[in-house]
This record gives sequence, C-alpha cells and structure tokens, in this order.
Amino acid sequence: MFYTHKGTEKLFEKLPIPKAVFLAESISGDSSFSHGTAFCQAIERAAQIEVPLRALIMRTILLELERICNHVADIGAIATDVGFVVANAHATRLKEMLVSLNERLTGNRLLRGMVCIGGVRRGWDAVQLGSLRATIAGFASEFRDLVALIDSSESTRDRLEQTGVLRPEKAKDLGIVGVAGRASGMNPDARRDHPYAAYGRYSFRVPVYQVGDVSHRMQVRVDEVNESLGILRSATEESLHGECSAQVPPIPADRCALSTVEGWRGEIIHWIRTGPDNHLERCKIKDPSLNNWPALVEAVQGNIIADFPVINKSFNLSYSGTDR
Amino acid sequence: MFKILQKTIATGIVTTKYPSEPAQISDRFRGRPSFDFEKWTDARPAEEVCPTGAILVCDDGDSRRVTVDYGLCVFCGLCAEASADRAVRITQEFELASAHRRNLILTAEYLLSTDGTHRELRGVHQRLVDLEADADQVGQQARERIQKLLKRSLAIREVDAGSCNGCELEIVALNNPVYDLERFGVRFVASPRHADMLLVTGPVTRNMELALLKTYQAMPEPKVVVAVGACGISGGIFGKNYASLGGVDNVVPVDVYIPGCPPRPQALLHGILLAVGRLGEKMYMDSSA
Repeated sequence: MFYTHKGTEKLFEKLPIPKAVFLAESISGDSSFSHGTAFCQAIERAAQIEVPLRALIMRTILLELERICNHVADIGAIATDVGFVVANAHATRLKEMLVSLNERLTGNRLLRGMVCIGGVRRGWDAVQLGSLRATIAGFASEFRDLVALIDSSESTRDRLEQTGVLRPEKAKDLGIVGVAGRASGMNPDARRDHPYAAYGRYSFRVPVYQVGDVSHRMQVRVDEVNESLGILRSATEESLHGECSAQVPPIPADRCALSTVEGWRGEIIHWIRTGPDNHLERCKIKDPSLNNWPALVEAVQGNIIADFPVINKSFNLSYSGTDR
Repeated sequence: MFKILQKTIATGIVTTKYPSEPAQISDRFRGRPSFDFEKWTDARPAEEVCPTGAILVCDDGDSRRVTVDYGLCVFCGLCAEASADRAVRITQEFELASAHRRNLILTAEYLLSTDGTHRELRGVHQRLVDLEADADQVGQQARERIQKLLKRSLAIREVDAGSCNGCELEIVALNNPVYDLERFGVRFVASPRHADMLLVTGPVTRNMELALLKTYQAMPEPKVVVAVGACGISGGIFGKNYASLGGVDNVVPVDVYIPGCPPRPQALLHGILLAVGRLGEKMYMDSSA
C-alpha cells in the first residue's frame, strides 16, 4: 500500500483551478469522469455556480456509462479468474463497444477532457445522440446474453458461491461502501441519498444483498448495469438543449465545499478549501478503495489460495485512488 | 457448451486489421494537436490553458522561442480552443511513438511585435535526432540484434511505477479479442526473468523507484524498455515533486516512448512493434483475411 503515492493532494494546491480538473481525472484512471465531476461539483458549490440542466443530464449519462463500462469488465474478469475465459472475451468485447462510444461522445476513451467547472466542455449533435441510443440498445441485448452465458455455467457458479464471504456485521464495522458494501447488507448510494447531477429526475433501484460472497458482488454489478441502462434510456429521451456550461466567475477565496459522487466502485468524496488567485488552499480526496481495502483482508480468510485472485477481483480496488 | 459455441459463431471475427490497414477510429477522437507555425500569431493563450505545460513560451527581448512537447501533452484540445487564429488543429493522429525523447519536441523561433504577437517566423526545429541516430553505429548494431532476437516472440513485463491505472486499462485492452496482441506472438508474463520488454506506466514514484530498478536488473539481456503515456515519458501532469521522480528515463534507460493520456491500444501496439522493428512487415491478418 501507498507505493504509488504521487503527492496528488499537495499538487492540487499548485495548479490553477481549471487545470486541476485534469489532475482530478488522473486520481484513478478507471473513475476519471467520476473524480473529475466530484472535483468540479465541489468548486461549483464553493463559488455558487448554477450548472445548466443540459450539462447535468450529460454528466449523469457519462457517469452511468463509466459505471457500466467498469462493471462489465469486472464481470468478465471474475469469470476469467475461475477459468471461464470465453465469458471474458465477450465481456471485453462489450467493454470495447462502450469505450468506443465514450470516444465518439467525448473524444477520449476514458471520458477525459469532457467535464469542466460549470458544466461540460462540448454538447452532442444528433449523430452523437443517435450513436448513444443505438449503442445502449445493442449493448443491452448483448449484456443479457453474457449474463445468461455465465449463469448457464454450473462450474463457474460453484466457484463463486460461498467464496470470499464478507459478513454484513463486518462490513458495517469496517464502513464498507459501494458494490462490496451493497453485497454485504450496506445500503448507501450517493445517487439516491445525496442526489447530484440529474439523478433526482430518474428512478432506479439500489440492489442490496446480505450474503456477501463473490457471487453476490457480481450480482450487484449485474443489477446495477441493468438499472444504469434504465437511467440511460430515460436520460437520452430528454431534450438536450440550452447551454453546456455556466459562466464561471473568479472563484472566491476561503470557501469550503464538500462533494460526493457515487463512482462505480463506491462513494468518491472531494473536500476543498479555496485560496486566493484561483487556486486551492487545501483539498482532501477520498476514493472508495480506501474504505474497502480492509474488507479484502476479512474476505480472504479461510479461503484456498487459488481463490485469492477472484476474491481480489470481486473488490477490484484502485492503488492509485488509495495512494493518491 | 452448445450455447457457448452458438454465441461464438454468432459473434464472428471482431479483431481489428490494424496495423495492416489504417485504424478505424472516430472523427471525434482527439489525437496529436498540429501547429501551423507560419499562421500562429500568438502562442501565449495556448500556453496559458495547457494543463501540463506541454506548450512553453520563452521570450528574450523581441524574440520568442515556443516549445511544444508531445511527451507532456494529455491531448485535452484546450490549445486549439484557445488559439483564435486556428493555427492549432486537433488531428486524429495517434502513431506518435518514438525512439528518442527529443523527437517528441518541436521548437519554433519568432520575432515579436510590440504587443507580443508573432511578427515573423524565424525557424522551426523538429526531429533533430534522426540524423544523429543514424550516425550512432553501436546503437544501431544493438538495435538490430534486439530486433533479430525478439522479432517472432516477445514477452512483456508490465510495471505500474505509479500510474493512475488509465494506461493499464488500455494495456489490458490489448488482450481483448478486438486488439488481440497474441496474434503478433507478443504476450504478457508475470516475472521480469521471463521478459524481453519492460513496459512501464506512470510517473515513477519515490516508493516504486527501487522496485522498478530491481525489475529492470532482473531481466535477461537483450532487453527493451518502453515508457507509456505522458506520465511515463515526462511525469505528465504529476511532474516531479516530493513523491514523484517524473519520467521513467530518470530511473532506467528507455528505448521507446509512447505518448498519450492514455495511449489508445493501437498507439501501444504501434509503439511495441516499433521497439522490436516490426512495423511495416506483412502481418498475419493479411493472409487470413
């Protein structure tokens, strides 16, 4: 742990705020858009910037795309770690489908360079929206096939069930968040509890299970992908007109703000305190990986060595996010 | 079993034909920013918005030197938006890998008007090292030996020296059915002792310095080192600070640099094949397709 510590929080103090957005996107590459959004939201809150609705809906769409992308890759990787490589071939193919959609929507495969203070940097034209709707529809049916394929493999199910159990009591004691928390009876979800972006406009279910094994951590991912597809369908039906971003005034000094985003892994928290000259005085960043590392230690106890990779993968924690 | 076969057949072949054929990429993709130095009337707005300092302006009296470093660039496109004269254009070019760090740097010299805009372009310097490299006989021989030995089968050891894991996502994508790295006889291995190539991502953190050095030393000769992404090349947005040592070449010698943030899988493929001298050869996919 902490081998990839890069002094990120200190670095935030040196960069002018608009440039610091790019640093936020590099906290954990797989959550680029979530971290970028969390940072922008904190600044917007500190400077009392009203983000236009169009930008809020676009952020919601991109946040959900990031979630689906990572979940489908994890589902494939869990299958690989118990020897079902064909499922992974399909899962990585599906992920590639979404990553190329990301590129068509934002110009970057990891959704980088899209979010900015006050909104998003570019709007979408009819071609991009058409491509978004078509890809979601195509992905939904392919994803059903993938889940059916994994469900039909009895040996895969056998390896995943009762493997790497994290009991709900332990999850509560350790304060486990996100996918791992919801598989073990924890029920926080920032999208529902502290609505941000345009989440207040859509209804979705938060899957919670009590069993806490690898199989249920995978099931939470499957359920969340399906819920996210629902959010995406509703969000893409809305009319996306108006401004993409608000006018950004000079950021006032000595303001504090807290912002939370439910990243695909769990809750991301950014706390900032602004300083003079469009700079930060201090910031604190919490990636969900930080909460969840102790859970891995609990979950692997009593399991065979050969199951370590799959248990580890079912948490899929970020070194860079923890170490910053 | 029947279902698996059925799905496989229904899916068909999804593997890309790159590099035998040009890559199919979206026209929205932000690749290399290209600079029309003749047309560029002022480099200062671009310098001001660049998040990593990839564009640097250095004034001396009435002359100015503008430096553009693709090894620092994160391809955000802000320089093109900030330059009102449309002299900076975002292209779809991604094959930027180079064997020389200095090949990634362009410089332009201007004479200035009194308001600080460019009056006259005095010269552009780029790709300085190509000529020098040809004169370097010993280096050339070593490269040929490496290329001969590693051409057919290449084992790669990947080291995350402090990356944000964005580059890792794209490296992992090389193994998916779309990019399928193994069709070139290239595979990832779990030990440096089995590896011919060291693929390093991230700015090297102080805590990873020793691990990276030991990994490099544990590899058998001949070996090739590839630095991936803006961070691997130069430290990127992290640069050098109390916890980060900057680019990989501050710790181990680097043979090929692959710019990008992160470099897309085709760019990684291009860089890896460049490192072992395999670009331009006829690929397996040609005969099968």
